[in-house]
Amino acid sequence: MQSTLKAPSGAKVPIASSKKLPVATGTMKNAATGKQGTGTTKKTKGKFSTTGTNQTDGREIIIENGKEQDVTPDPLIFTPEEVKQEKKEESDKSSVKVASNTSDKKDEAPTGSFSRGERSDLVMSSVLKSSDQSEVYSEVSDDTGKERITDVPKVEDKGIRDEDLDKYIDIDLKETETFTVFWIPSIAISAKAENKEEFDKINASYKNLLNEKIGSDNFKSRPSQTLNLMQKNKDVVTETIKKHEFECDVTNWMLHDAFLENPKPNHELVANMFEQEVKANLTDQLKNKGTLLDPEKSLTDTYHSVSVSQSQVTNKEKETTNSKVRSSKRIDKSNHSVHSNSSITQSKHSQGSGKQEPEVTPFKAPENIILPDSLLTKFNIVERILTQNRYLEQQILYRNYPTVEFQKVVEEEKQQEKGALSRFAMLQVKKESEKKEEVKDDIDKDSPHMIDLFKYTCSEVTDRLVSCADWNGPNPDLLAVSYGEYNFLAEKAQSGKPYLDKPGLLLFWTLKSPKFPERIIRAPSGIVSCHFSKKNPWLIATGSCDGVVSIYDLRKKGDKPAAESSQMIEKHIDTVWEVKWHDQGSENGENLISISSDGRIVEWSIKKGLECRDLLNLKKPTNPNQKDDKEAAVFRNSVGFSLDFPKDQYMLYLASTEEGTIHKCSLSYNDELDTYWGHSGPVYKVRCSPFWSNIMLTCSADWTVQVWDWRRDESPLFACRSQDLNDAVNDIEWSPHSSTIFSNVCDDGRVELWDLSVSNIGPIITKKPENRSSPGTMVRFCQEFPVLVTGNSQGVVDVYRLKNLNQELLTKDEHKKRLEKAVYPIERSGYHKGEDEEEEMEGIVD
Amino acid sequence: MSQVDEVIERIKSHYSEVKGIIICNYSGVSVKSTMTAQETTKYSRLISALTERARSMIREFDCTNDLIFLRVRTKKNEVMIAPDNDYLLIVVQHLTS
Repeated sequence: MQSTLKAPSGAKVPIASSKKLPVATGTMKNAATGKQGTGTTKKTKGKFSTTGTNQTDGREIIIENGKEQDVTPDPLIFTPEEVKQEKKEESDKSSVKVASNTSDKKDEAPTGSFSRGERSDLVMSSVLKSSDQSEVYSEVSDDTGKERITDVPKVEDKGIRDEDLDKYIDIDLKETETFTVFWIPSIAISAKAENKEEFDKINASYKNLLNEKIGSDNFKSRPSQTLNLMQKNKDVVTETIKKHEFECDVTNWMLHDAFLENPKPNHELVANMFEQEVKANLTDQLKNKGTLLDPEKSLTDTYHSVSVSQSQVTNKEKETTNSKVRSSKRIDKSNHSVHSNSSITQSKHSQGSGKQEPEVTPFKAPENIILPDSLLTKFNIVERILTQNRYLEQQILYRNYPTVEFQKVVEEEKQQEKGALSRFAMLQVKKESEKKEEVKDDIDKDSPHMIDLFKYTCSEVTDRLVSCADWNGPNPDLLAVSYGEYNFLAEKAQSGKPYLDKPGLLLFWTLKSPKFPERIIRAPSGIVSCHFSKKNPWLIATGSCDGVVSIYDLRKKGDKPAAESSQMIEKHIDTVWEVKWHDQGSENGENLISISSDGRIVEWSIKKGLECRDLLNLKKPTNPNQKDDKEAAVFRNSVGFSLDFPKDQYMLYLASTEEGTIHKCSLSYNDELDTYWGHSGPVYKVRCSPFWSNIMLTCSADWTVQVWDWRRDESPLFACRSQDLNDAVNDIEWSPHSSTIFSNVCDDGRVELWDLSVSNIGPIITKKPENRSSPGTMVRFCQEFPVLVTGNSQGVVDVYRLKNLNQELLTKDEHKKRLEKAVYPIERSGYHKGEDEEEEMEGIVD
Repeated sequence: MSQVDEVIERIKSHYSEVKGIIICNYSGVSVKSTMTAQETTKYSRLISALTERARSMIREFDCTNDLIFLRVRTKKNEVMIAPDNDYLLIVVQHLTS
């Protein structure tokens, strides 16, 4: 047979030459007549081979090789009908298992394989699923006499039935024969090939030939010209490629930040936002009763808005460079507020709004800006810096840093600015000032004195009485000052008005802010005493005029105390003059002990809430020095003013009373152990020396300060009183740096500093105020620095720097000995046995 | 907002040398200020740029570090800059000595 190309009539087959087809030769013929089935279409159909030449009706192209063999490639799509028919015809040769239900209608899974049709024995048919197939095939009959089927039942595509989905379908796959599409033979063979020798011979003979060519008459080289093909220029015009420049500076820390942030990819962001929006919407809508939730609508709405905003975001990303602005503003986009945490979107939003702002005058910032609280901390820092700028010298003095001389530098600069003539004048001025300085220095270097540093006061506390103060342990700059009036009668006498209990104040001052306290705590009633806990330095206990003992926890904000005794039955019923924390070792922990006008000494414990127990009731003892005690005791209880704990013995304590007595008491006994007489007026304060606890100091309204050794005598050792002091001594304190130094403040407003190693007749420093109307009410030494603070009744806390005191660095023992020597001059004492007897001071006792 | 106002008032009253207080954001737009509009814009724009620069420098050395405070002392004034996450606090003080 000759293979021919046939096509149905009217078909346009663009085949240039038959030679292009690798196999087919011959000509193309029209598949002319042929019987055509009804409804023939373009679909070619499965093949048959056979020896027959003519083909199909219904096939467009029929390819035959030179031997008149039909080599038309099989079509890829068949209807099941054809398959069935094929099967019928050549069922014995076919090895295809067609799936069940091959019959007419349904679509089947692909089966079989493809093959070229050559012979009748190689029949293969393949069936592919073709759901939109509605064509009708007709079978082609060939010379072998297969009948053509004219009537083909219509294949109606009804879709896949449910039962079919569950059926098992067998698929048999086979390979076709291999087509060689392209082949370049290699020019190399393996060195181990079998026919290597052949090729070797060929190669050798070729080489010989080449050699022979050279200089041989048989061969002549001759150039020839080739034709250059004509070239043609072709231009192409395109639209301009849109370019966009982008640059940014990248620094190490930007990379660091980005790494820490771990940004999510865009699609995740969108997904997250979408989820959030959906949830928000759903929850909102579900809250309403009986909502007919229309999920479709709401979801798509939100998605739309989200995608809109996201696209806006991406647009802005393209426009901007680094994200400089990170604003926490909430921005409403269309109807939905986009709360995005990613810095990218945030920055873009705010940058967009930032761009709008400059057009508006800068002061009209949007009303809804919420300034973050972190700004307050910045303000604090700024305030501190401002304070430092103004009070630098004083702060340096406070801290005992070496002073820096600013003034001289500035003066020199000023000199340089002016001319030569004026320089002379300046020099003269300088000399004078130097002289003055020298003069001052004489005074300064020799004698101890106090330098005014600050005045801790603010508008809140003007005209309030400074009742007590305490330093914080871990933070030595922090001074808690309590304000509360207790001079009821005096106040009334002065102002003529009945005394009203003003609310109490507790202010926390520091040298870093002398104009305004760090914190203000307001109490309902005037606070008369305060004390920081040593074990828990955030706790401060206060005692107030109305008898309430409160404990404040400074870690919490607000004015409310952590514990207070106002609701307790055993509370004090009168002014609590002193509260003191006392550490009783690991068993009992630190407890609070208070002494009050109602004559009771009460111990408070905060282990389980606020509990108290009475330690002692102060009774009016009979004075052994006074023989006739005419006064009938109306009240058995006496008023207690102060108490103190000696450093080494934690069970004992000393309490001072209004009668002028000091009692030695114990925590475990309900009665006083001992009583000390010496004062003729109420004893306002009793203080044991921090270096040698035997020695105690008391101050009283009888204008005197008495020094006692309470372990030895019931009488005082000696009294300290300046000649001109005619007023009550309100407060007293030992210096923590030197064992022989103490300070006291008096009702006439003066502050005195005594050094017993120098003299016990008069103080080494006396500072008197300008106006008499402000009695000094409080005096404290700073634990770390050579600073003294005093308070008066005008609400002013004066901070002084002590200079030129004899404060050598001695050990505790040395301090103790020094105090011993000061208190017990050698002649009198029995303490010093066999020691060097240098008479350093004149210790006059009595 | 009111707490911040209080503090501003306090600073203004206590420290008379303070020329002005500005709160602005990093793009140089001021939110609150006690100075004239012209000066405010100048200060906020210039100082926000400077702060960015200073912060960048500090973080280049150590990424975990950050700028807390910047003081620029000149012959006549001192400018104190406290950067926050979103805002910038600027206080300008006259120097007397």
